[in-house]
Amino acid sequence: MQTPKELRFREDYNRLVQPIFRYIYYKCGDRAEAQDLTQECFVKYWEKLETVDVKGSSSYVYMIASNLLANKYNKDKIKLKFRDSIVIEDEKQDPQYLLEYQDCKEKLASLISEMPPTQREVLLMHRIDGMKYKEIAEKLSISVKAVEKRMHLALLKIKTLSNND
Amino acid sequence: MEDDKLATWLEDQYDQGHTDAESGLAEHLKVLDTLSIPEINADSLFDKIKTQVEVNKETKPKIYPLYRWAASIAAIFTFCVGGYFLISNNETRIAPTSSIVEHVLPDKSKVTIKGNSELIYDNDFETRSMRLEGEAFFEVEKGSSFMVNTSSGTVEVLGTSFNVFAREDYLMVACKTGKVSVSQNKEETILSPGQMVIINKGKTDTSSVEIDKVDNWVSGESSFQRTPIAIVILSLKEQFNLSIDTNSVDLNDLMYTGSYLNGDIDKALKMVFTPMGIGYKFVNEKKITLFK
Repeated sequence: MQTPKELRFREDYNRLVQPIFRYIYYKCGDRAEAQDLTQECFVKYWEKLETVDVKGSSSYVYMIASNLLANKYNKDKIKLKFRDSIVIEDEKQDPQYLLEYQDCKEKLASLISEMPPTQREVLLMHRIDGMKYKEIAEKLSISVKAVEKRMHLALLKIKTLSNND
Repeated sequence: MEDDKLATWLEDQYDQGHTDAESGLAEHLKVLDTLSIPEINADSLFDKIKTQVEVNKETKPKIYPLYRWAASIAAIFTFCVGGYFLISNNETRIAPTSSIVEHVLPDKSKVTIKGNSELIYDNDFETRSMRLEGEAFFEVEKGSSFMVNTSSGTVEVLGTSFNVFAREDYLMVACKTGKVSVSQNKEETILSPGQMVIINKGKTDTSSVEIDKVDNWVSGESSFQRTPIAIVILSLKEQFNLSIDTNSVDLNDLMYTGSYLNGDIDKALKMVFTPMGIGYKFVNEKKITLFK
């Protein structure tokens, strides 16, 4: 028989484990580390679950994740780790295209790694996870305008890749 | 075009296939979309979490025997002082039954808590987060996010002072200094000094408030602004430990703007009910009935 606390935790876990793992991964770029931090994050959430308003559950868990990361890493470490592990799938086979594509890939990977984590997380949560701005704003406890601003800055950076070609 | 709108516009352009205008961006976004993200096995991670929780449970008593001893001593003391302050292994619970209690949180923030309210927070206070039912005035030290969870919404600040009134379906937050964020569902309201927000049964309403009146009740006067009379009555009941029989007087939609003094029952009742055209009668020392 499961207690109400166990039921609620399982529900929240099922709903949030993948998004939270990806969120942490977007921040640090290291799969193993992200997995460990995800584990720690939910262990902490279990301990404080009963004091959290149901409506604030998601943003609370994101907050724990964000704090764990902040405590563990300084900014430089985050940049490097992400660059080493970024993987972009190959699509076309044309050798000439592949060469350009490879170059583009590396530049993009580098750019994303250099980007401030706050911009990177919003960019990837929106484009890869498909989250709408409102959803991102709610999860990260920031305003929609802040999300828009970060996206704007991230896209401007990506734009610079084509300006340099 | 506004800066922030560029982001949404650019994306719309790209997603709708108008790639000529910003073809550089579109190309790169296409590549970005193929980014491969690793996945984790949710079930095996859950088992690891379960194990970790069990391990934590077992090690706690061994690591903090001194703390537990100190906590039980504190419990004995506070029961003598009026039984409102309790430290357990994990959390601190403050629930004054009457009068006002001033408390300093682990991060040196100060909170003044009204009678018949309850504030609960974790002892380690790593995330500055707590739960409130009732009324409290917070003076928050600058730092990481400070969150107050109530049953109607969540209040979040970085460093500021503000008042929270949270009872039943009603939440009122007034900002005295700094900036305060209040969220409920997906709606967020940011308050500046002199602003307040009321979330009543899910509906949000902002208005202004005199800065001096924000924490009036601390110095003895409870102020209300366009507050449903039912909530004001609730506050009277808590303040004076009164039982109030509304006696089928129709209170729906009646809003009260005004204040009452916390120290004098008769004056307080007059200040609330007379302007509303409601009569009241003392049935016994601790109970009144209303009539129109």
